[in-house]
Amino acid sequence: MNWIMDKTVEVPIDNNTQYSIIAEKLYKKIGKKEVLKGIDLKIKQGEIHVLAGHNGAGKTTLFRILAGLLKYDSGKLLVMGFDPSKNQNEIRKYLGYVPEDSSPYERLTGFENLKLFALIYSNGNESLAEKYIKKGAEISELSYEDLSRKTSEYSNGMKKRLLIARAIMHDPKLVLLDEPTNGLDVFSAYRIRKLIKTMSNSGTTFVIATHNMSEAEMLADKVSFIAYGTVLYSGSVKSAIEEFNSVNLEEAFIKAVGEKYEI
Amino acid sequence: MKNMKSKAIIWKELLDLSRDKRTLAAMILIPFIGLPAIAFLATGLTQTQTTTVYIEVLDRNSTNIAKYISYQLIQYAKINGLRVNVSMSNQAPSSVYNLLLIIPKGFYENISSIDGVGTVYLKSLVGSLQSSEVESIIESIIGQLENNIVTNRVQKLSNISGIKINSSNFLNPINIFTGYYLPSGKPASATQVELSLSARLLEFSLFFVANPAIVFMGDSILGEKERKTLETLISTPSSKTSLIIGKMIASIIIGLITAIADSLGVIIYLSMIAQNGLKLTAGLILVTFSVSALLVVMTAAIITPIVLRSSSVRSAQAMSYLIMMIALGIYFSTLFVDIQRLPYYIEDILLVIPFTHAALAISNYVLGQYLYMAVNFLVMIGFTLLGIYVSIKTFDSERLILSK
Repeated sequence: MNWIMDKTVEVPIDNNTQYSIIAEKLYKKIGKKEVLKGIDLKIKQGEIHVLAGHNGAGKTTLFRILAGLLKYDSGKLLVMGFDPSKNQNEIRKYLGYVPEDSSPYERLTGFENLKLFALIYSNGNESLAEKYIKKGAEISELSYEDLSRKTSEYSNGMKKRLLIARAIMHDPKLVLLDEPTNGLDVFSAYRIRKLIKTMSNSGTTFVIATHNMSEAEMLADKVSFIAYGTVLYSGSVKSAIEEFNSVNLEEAFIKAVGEKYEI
Repeated sequence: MKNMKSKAIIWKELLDLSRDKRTLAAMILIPFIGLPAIAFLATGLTQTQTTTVYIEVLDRNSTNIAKYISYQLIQYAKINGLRVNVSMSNQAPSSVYNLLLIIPKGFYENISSIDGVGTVYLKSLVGSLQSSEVESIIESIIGQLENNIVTNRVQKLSNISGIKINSSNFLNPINIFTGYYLPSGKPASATQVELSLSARLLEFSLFFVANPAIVFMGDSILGEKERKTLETLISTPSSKTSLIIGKMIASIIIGLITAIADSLGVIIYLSMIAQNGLKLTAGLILVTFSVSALLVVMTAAIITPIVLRSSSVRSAQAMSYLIMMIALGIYFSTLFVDIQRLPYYIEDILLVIPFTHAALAISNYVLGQYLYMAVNFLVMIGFTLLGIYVSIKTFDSERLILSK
C-alpha cells in the first residue's frame, strides 16, 4: 500500500519560521530495535498537532529527540529553527515538555514545584519567577490550599495539571505533551483539554502524543498517524476521515495502520 | 547565570531531603548515638562486670608462699577492678573453681637451694575472660617471686665468694632508653607521639566521612530517575553543568552535615575504647576537619561519573560499594600500617587511590611534614576537579534515560 506513504510530503529543511518542527527522514535505533524508520513531519507554529499511534509506535522516542534528550542517528531535524542534537539549550528555553511517565517532586508542595521550574526558566530572576509561579498556579486551577500541600497527597489528575502548568507557565513557544490525559477521570481530562485549547489560541504550538483517537479528534488542528516508527498520514482530522473513508478518526487510524501492516 | 540555575537545584535538593525525616535521622542520629552506644557496650559493660573469680591455692606443704601469692593476688585484683575469691588449702578442692594454683611438695626446698627449680601448676576453667586476666596477674606475681629468689641466690653467692655484687645490676645488665624521632630526624615531643596514635584512629574514622556523600550523590541523580522526575528536569534550560554542580553541592552539604555527625560519633567511640583516651589538639582538629570536608567534596566528584553511568540507584550502590570497600581498606589499614614505610611499588599503587591522600594529610600533619600535607591537599583538589570535568564531559542524557 504505497499510496499511504505517498501522502508524506518531502520537506526541505530550512529555517522557515512558519514551522515549529521540521523533520526529514528521521532515524533512531535503540539497542537493536529500529524505533524511528524515517519520520517526516512538518508542524506549523500555533497549531495543535496530535501524534496518534499505538503503544510502541515511536511517539515517546520522537518526543525525546525533539526535546534534545536523545540524539537521532540520521535524517534532518529543526525545532524552532535549531537542531536539537546541537542546540539543546536554545530549544529548551522555548520548550515545555511533560513526559508520559512523569511525576512532580512528591516531597515538595505544588508551589515549591512551580518555584523550582520558575527559578530555572527565569534564570534566578525572582520577580520573573514570581510571575511564572502566579501564572502556573492559575493554569493549574488548583486552589491555594492544594498548592500549599505536598504533591504526594494529590490525585493523578491534580498531579497532571500541575505538571502541565509547570511546563507552560513560562509561555513556551512549543509544548510537547506525551499522553497528557492517560489514566485521568473524565473531569480532569476535560480540564486539561480546555487548557490546551486556551493556550493554543495565544500562539503556542502543541504537539500531543496520544493513542486516544477521540481525544485526538477533539483537540487536533492537524493529526499524524504514526505506526512502527513511520508517519503514515499527516493532515487535518477532517481530511484523514475523508481520505480513509471512515466515520471517525479512530476508524481512519485503524484503516491506515491495518492496510499498511495488514493487521 | 549558570550558578542561578544550580542555586535553584541546590534549593530543591536540600528542601526535598529535609522533608525525608527518616533518612536524615538514619544518616545523622544513628551513627551519632549508635557508635558511642557500641563503645559503651564494648567497654562500659566490661568494667561493670561483677563476676567473681574463684581461685584455689593448693599448697601441699602449707608454706608461707601460698599466703604471699594469695595476698598479692587480692591486692592486684583490687587495682584492676576484678572481684576474686581466694581460698587456700592443702587438699584438692571439691567445688568448681576458675583457677587452681598447685604448689607441690618440695617446692620450697627447690627454690631455697642455690640452683633448684621449683614447679607450680596453674589450671584455668575454659571460656572465662576474667580468669585469663587473673591468670596474667598470677604469672606476674610469680615473676616477682622469681626475682626475689634470684636476688637471694646472688646474695648468698656473693657472701660465699666474698665478691661484692649489686644484685639489681646483676639481674639487669642492659639498660634500654627509648625515644621517638620525626622523619626530619628531630626528636619527637611526647605530644607528637600521642598525636601520632590519635592520628591513626582519626584516619580510620575518615571512612565514615566518605560514605554519606556516596549515598546522597547516587540518590540525587538516579533517585530522580526512579521517582520519574529526571526527564522533565533535564529538559529544562538548566545546563548539564548547572545540573551536575547543583546536585553535587547539595550532596556535599548533606554529606558534610552527616559526616560531622558520623565523625563525632566515631571520635566519641574511639575516645571510649582507646586506653588513654584520644589526644587532640586544635591544630589536629582543624586539619582533620579540613581533610574531612575536602574528602566529602572529592568523594562526591569521584562518584558522579560512576552514578551517571549506572542504570538505577541499586546498580549505583553496587558500584559505590566497591569504592567504599577501597576506602575502607585504606582507612582500616592505617590502624596497623605506615603507608610511607611500605615498599615503593605498593606505596605507588596506594598513592594513585585518591582516598589515600586524606589519610596521609593527617599523618603528615602530626609528623610535622607540612609540605607533604599541602601536596596531599592539592592532589585531593586535583581529583575533585578531574571528577567534575569527567562528569560534565561525559554527561549523556540518552544513557541516563534509556539505561535499565
